[in-house]
Amino acid sequence: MPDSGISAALQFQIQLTAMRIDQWLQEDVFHFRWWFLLGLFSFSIYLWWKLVDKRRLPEVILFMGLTTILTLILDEYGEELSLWDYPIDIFPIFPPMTAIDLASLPMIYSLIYQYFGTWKSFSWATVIMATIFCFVLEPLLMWGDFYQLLKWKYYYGFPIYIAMALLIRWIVITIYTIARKTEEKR
Amino acid sequence: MLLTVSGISAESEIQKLLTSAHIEEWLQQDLFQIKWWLLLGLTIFAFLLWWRLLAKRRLPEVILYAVLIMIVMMGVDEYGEELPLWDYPIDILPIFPVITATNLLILPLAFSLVYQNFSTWISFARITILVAALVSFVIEPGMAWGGYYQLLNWKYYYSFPVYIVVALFIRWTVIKIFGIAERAKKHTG
Repeated sequence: MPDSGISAALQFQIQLTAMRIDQWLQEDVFHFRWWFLLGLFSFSIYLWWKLVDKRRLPEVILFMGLTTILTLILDEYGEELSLWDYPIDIFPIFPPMTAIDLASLPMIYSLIYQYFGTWKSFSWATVIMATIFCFVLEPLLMWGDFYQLLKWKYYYGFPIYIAMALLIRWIVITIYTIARKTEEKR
Repeated sequence: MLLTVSGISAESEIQKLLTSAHIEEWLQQDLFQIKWWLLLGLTIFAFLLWWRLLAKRRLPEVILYAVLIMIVMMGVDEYGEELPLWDYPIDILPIFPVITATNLLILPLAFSLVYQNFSTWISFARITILVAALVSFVIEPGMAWGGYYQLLNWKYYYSFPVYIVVALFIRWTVIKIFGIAERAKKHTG
């Protein structure tokens, strides 16, 4: 029990955070790639807002919110287990919060959810998107030094991207179905 | 060790040390201990209670509220751990401890129920203040006393306004989202 004060993990945490802030100040902030990432974030939010069906906003945002939570968790696991790394951070603390993944995944996923209303079409769209993500975007991001694979292969992500999208679609549909059934019973 | 070795930065090295320290401490001090079981039990209980109290008819709306508050609190909590402002000495899982931290769970659950049951700004704000006080001044000191929570560079009364602002802001966001959807529906007939 860390009653006795500060544990070893805490010591490392303090070191790690100081180092991250240091590196970020020296190598990231206001550099070209930093601005690029910030621009990409802003652009994808803008594009998403243009494309989203406002009538279905609550449903699409629910899908997006769940995707965000899952992406954050997976990303933080990847960083903590040193499976991959995001060398450029918009903000040095809790890097997954501003990682390139988060700028794109939830928004693209939620638009796919909006446009493809059946399980079959949604699954196809998801497979195509996962392919583009794993075998085009990620190598490109790596080439641009936004992403670094440590103990990971591109194709590991492939089934995860697909499973994630299907699971979240199932959750959202179930939430709406329960609400509708309860409403009908009244 | 602090030099960049073969493309892997010093940061990655420290991250590895931190993760193995987390896992080691977790295996030795947390996993399957009474306090660990208690935390797991409490988490499951809180979740079941929440599900019982949810108005299933309004599930999409209330879960949207819970999800948004969860995202904000995940951010806040992880910031707090990394800076480090506070610590969770007992973790259900050693990696990304924030996702299994009890106060992270309690906040979305409690505030989403407040959202569901209090539909005017005045009543919502009153109960929010009450719940924020309860969490900041009763539950969190209680958890600290039980060894589940450790304040480092933080005071209980710092959390109090943070919780209130987050709860109010998310209510505003959810209302806005539903408002935009309503207007868009009317617009297109």
